[in-house]
Amino acid sequence: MPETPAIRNPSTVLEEVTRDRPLLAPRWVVTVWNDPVNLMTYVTFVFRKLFGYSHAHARRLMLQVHHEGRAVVSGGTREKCEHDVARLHAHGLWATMSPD
Amino acid sequence: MGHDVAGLTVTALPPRVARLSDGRIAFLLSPQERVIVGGYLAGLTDRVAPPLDDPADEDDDAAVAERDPVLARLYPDAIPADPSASAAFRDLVIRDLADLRLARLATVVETIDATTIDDAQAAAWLGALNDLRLVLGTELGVAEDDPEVIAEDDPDAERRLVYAYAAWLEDQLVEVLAGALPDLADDDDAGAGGA
Repeated sequence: MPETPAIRNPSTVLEEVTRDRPLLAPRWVVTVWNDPVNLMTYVTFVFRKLFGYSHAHARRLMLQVHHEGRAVVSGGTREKCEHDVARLHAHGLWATMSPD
Repeated sequence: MGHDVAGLTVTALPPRVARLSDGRIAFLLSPQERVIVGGYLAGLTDRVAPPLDDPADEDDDAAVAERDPVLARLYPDAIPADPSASAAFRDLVIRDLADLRLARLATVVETIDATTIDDAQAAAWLGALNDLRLVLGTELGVAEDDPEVIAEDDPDAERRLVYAYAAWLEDQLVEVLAGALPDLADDDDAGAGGA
């Protein structure tokens, strides 16, 4: 009959499990806000160009921005979101980022 | 978000932008349009970049951008919940973004008389026209439900017309440039019937 395994200190176990792989970085999201200047066609085009979204997906996000005032358009690590926000700002969109 | 520009007098004009069979883009502005819109775009160079750092000035770029509504619109707060992170982000990217905006305006100046342009030049025109509308829209206090007809006695009539003209031209550039993007199938919408 197998021996009952000893109960080990959880922090030691966690250290072993995570030693060789980075902890999951906290996830951030990028939000685009409605504004009275940017054209609907232009916003749809920018989402396609920057994120490679299909026309239909980009248009849905644009309409969400237009009708609801904002939409989450991308997400990931803080660094990725900083990159996305900078590219959206370069295209004149009003973008912000926040922890998810 | 601005709607399309239907109803404005500029929509009575024939289109100015079209994809040619050789892949280039026809760019058929009238001489008068080139003078007017070229003048407005050239005037942006002093408007889209924050003043260079003066060692005697304790304000950094972020502080300058926060004080000027136009710069605040061109370089928005990236992380509103964390002002110090937001200021650090702005300091990190503001010079690169300003250089990009100035490079687009330089392309506009180089191609102000061109009757054909390539995709990169069209993208520069699109970005510059959008910046022009962000600047004019902020200065004029444009709102989403503004009337589309410009009153003759409006002291800002010319700027409002340029704003509308830029939107009309932007729409044409978007259509031509979007036509060159890969045409992806939409996975979440297939057979959904759409509204």
